[in-house]
Amino acid sequence: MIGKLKAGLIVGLIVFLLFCATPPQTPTPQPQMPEIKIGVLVPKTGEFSSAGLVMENAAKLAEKHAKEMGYNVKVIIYDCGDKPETTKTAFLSLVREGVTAIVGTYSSPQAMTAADTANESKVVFVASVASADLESKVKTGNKYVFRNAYNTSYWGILAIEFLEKTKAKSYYLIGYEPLKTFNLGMFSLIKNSTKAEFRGESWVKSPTVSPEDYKRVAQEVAKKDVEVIIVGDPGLGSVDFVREYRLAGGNATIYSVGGTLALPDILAKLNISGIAFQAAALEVKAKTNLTKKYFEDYRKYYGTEANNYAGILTYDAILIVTQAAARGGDLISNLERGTFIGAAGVYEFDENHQAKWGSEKLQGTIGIYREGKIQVVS
Amino acid sequence: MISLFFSALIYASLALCVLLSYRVAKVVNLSFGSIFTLGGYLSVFSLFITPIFGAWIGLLLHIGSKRMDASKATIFSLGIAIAIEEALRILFRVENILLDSRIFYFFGYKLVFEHFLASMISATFLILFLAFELKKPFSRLKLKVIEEDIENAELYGIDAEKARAIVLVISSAFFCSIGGLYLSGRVISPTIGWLYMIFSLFIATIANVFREKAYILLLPTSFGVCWLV
Amino acid sequence: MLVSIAIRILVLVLLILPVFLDCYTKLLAASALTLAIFTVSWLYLEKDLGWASLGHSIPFGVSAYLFAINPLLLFFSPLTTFLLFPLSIFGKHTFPFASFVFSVFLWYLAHHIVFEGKGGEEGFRAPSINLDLIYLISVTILILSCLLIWKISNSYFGLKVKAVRDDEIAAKAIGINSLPFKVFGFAISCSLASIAGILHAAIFGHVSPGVFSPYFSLFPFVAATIGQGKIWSSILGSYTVVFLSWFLSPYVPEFHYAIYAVALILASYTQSYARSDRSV
Repeated sequence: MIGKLKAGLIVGLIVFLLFCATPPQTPTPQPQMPEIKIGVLVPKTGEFSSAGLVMENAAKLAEKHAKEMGYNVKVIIYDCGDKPETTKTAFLSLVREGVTAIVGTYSSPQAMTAADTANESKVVFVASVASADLESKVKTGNKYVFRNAYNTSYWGILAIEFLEKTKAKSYYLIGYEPLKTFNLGMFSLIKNSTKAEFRGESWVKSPTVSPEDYKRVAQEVAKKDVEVIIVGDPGLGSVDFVREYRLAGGNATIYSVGGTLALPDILAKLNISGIAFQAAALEVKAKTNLTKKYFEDYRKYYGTEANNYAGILTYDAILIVTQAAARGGDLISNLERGTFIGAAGVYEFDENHQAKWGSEKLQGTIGIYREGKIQVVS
Repeated sequence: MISLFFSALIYASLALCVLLSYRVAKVVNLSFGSIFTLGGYLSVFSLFITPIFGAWIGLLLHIGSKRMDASKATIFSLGIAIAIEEALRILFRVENILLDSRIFYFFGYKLVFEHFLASMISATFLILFLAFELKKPFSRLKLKVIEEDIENAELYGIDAEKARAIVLVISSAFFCSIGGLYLSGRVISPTIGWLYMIFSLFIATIANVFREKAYILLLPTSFGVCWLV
Repeated sequence: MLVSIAIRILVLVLLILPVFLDCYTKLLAASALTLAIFTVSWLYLEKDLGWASLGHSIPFGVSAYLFAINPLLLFFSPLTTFLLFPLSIFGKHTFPFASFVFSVFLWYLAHHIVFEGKGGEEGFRAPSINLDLIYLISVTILILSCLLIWKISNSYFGLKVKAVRDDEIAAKAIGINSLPFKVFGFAISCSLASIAGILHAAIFGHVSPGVFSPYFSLFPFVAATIGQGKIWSSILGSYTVVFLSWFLSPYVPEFHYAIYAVALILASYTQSYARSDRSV
C-alpha cells in the first residue's frame, strides 16, 4: 500500500514538474564598457513583481535605445522587493556599484525610503512610478530626489479632464480603503473642480480583510443612475470590481486611475467595453519620436504589449538621467535646468523637482477600451 | 442576494473540508490556501487536472505527517503551503494572469459560469455530507469514534489511517477544484488563496463551537459570516 | 564543544566586522542583528516557558508601529505582552496556531491603521537614527539580552519558571503559583521582541503592515530551527536566513520562503521545537 502511494507521489511530482516547465526567458543584452552607470530599482519579487518585469524590460530597452543615440550607458538593475527595508538595502548596493544616479522603485513607502537614502548617500534618485509626497522632501532640503512620474494632484486633474471631455453629467467615486489617504486627496480635487454632479462614494475594503467586498460595492453601485464611475484602486481588485459591476447590470463608463486596468493585455482579455484609464502615453498618440519606438521595440523584443505607466516612465527616467549626465558637470543642476526627451513627452522639473506634468509638452493620455480597441480620449 | 447565497455555499463547503481535516485527520491544514491557489494556476491549462493535483498534494500531506501529532502535522502543512507558494512564485512570478471566465444566465441573473459551477459542486458536496451525517450509516459512526478519540478507534479495529488519508485527499482535491473554478475571471497571484483559507478557517472555527451540530450549522454560519463581512 | 566555541567566535566576528565595512554591509548586518534579538526573545519563550509562538511579530510589529506613529507611545510598548499572553488560554498545542492566526489578523488590520492622514497600506515613516549609532546600540542590546536570559534562566527564579513549564500541577503542588511566572516570562520575551521591532523601525526609517507578515511571524521559529534551539547557533541562524535570502533572491524570488518551507517541514520531523508536549 505504502509502496504504491510513494510511487503515486513520485509519478505525480514528475508530471507536475513537466507540466509547469516554462520556456526560458529572453536573454539579457550584454552590456559594454560603462561610462554613465545608472542604477535601477525594480520590484522583481514580492507583490509588485508583475510591474517589476515591465520595469526591468523597459530599463533594458532604454539602455539599448540610449546606446543607439550615441550615449555610453550601463544600466544596473537591482531587486528592491515590495518593502521599504529591501529598497534601502538595494539602494545602498547600487551606491556601492558606483552609479551616477538611481531610478525606479514602485510603491510610495519604497520611494520615500529611497528619497531619504539618496540624501544620506548623496546620490540622485529619480522616482519613476510612485505618487508619494516627494515634493516635501525637496522643500525640506533633500535636493537629491526628483520625480518624472506624476503626483497625486495630476491623477485628479486627469480624472477631471475626462469628465469634461466626455461631458459627463454625473459621477460616482469608488475608493479603496487601504489607499484611503491617496484616494481622499484625489477625490477632494475632483469634487472641488468639476461641474458634473457628484452622486456619492463607496469604499471597497482590502480583499485581505473581506475577499467578497468588491461584490457588495459593485452591486450597490450598479443600482445608481450615474454616467461615470471613478475607481481609485490601481491594483488587481479593480478588475474584480469591473467584472462584478457589469454582471450586476451596471452600464456606466468606468474611469480607472490606471495600474492593472490600463494594461492592454488585461483589457483585451477582460474584453469589457467602456473602461477608460489614464496612462503616461499610448502608442496611438505619439508624443515624441521615441513614443512609437518604445511601444514597437517593446513588442518586438519582449513579445507583449508595452506597459504605459510604470514601464514607460522607468524608460524615460533612464533617458532623462542619461541626457543630464552626458552634459557633464553637476547632475542636480543639469536636471533642474535642462529639458529632456522621453517617450511620454518632453520633461522639465519644477522647483520641487517634480516633472511638469500638464505643461504643453508633457501631458498624460486618457484612453478608453471600446469594442476590442483602445481609443484616445485626450 | 443570489451571489451572496452562492458565496456562502462555497465557503461552507470549504469550511467543511477544514473542519473534517481538523476533526478526523487531526490537522489544522494550513496548506489549503496554497492548494486553492494552485487550482487557479492549473485551471490555465485545464480544469480537469485540478482535483488530480489536489488529491496528490493531500496524499503527500498524509504520508508526510501520518506519524506526527496535531501540532507537528500543522507545522508540516504550513511548510507544504509555503513550498507550493514558492514553487508558483518561481514558475509564474512575473505574469499577470487573468483567468478566463464565461457569462451565464440563471433565472435572469447574470453570473460567471465557473462560479455557478463551483457553487453547484459545493452544494452537492454539502448535501451528500449532510445526508451522510444525518442518516448515520456505520461508516459515519466509525468517523465519529475517530473524531472523539483516535486511539480508541484503533482499539475498536477502525482503520483511522485510511480515514485520515481519505479525508486529506478528498478535502485537498476539493479545495484545488474549487480554486480552479472560483478564481476564474480574477487576476491571480501566488498568495491569493490565503484569504479563502483564513475565511474558511474562520467559519469552521465558529461552527466548531456547536460541537455535535457543527456540520449541520456550517451553511447558516457561512451565510451569516458572508452577510456580515 | 569545539563547534560551540567556533560558533561563538563566528558570532562575535559577525558582530564586530560590519563596524569596519561599508554602509550597505552594515545595513544588512544591522537587519540581521535586530532579527537575532527577535529570535533570542522567541527562544526564551520556547525554551524556558515551553510556549512556541508563531505570532511573535505581534509585540515586534505593534512596538514598531507605536514608535513610528509617535515615539512617546512607546510607553505602552510593554503592554504588548497582554496581546500575546491571553492566547495562552488555548493551551500549548493550539498556541502556535492561535498566535499565527492572530498575527495574520493584525497584518490585515494594519492596512487600515490611519493616523493624521498617514498610514494605511503605505505605513508610517519612523524616526531614522544614524546607522553607526543604531548598529552599536543593537550589538549592545543583543549582548545584554543574551546575558539577561542566561542570568534569569540560571537563577532560582528561572528554575521555578522551568518547573512551571515542565509540569504546572507538580509546580503548584510544591507551592509555585504558575500565573506570575508565566506572565513574567511572556513579559521578558515580548519586551525583547518589542525592542527588536523598534530597532528595526529605526534602522529602516519606515514601518509598513509587512511587519506583521508571515516573514516576521515565522522568522524566529525558522532561525531557531536552523540553530537547533541553541542561543548562539540561533543567532547565527538569523544571520544565515537574512544573508541567504538577500543574496539568493535575485535567482530564486523571495528565497527566504524556500528556507522557511524546508525549516518548517524539517522541524516537524526533528522535534527541535515545541515543548508543547509537556503541556499540562
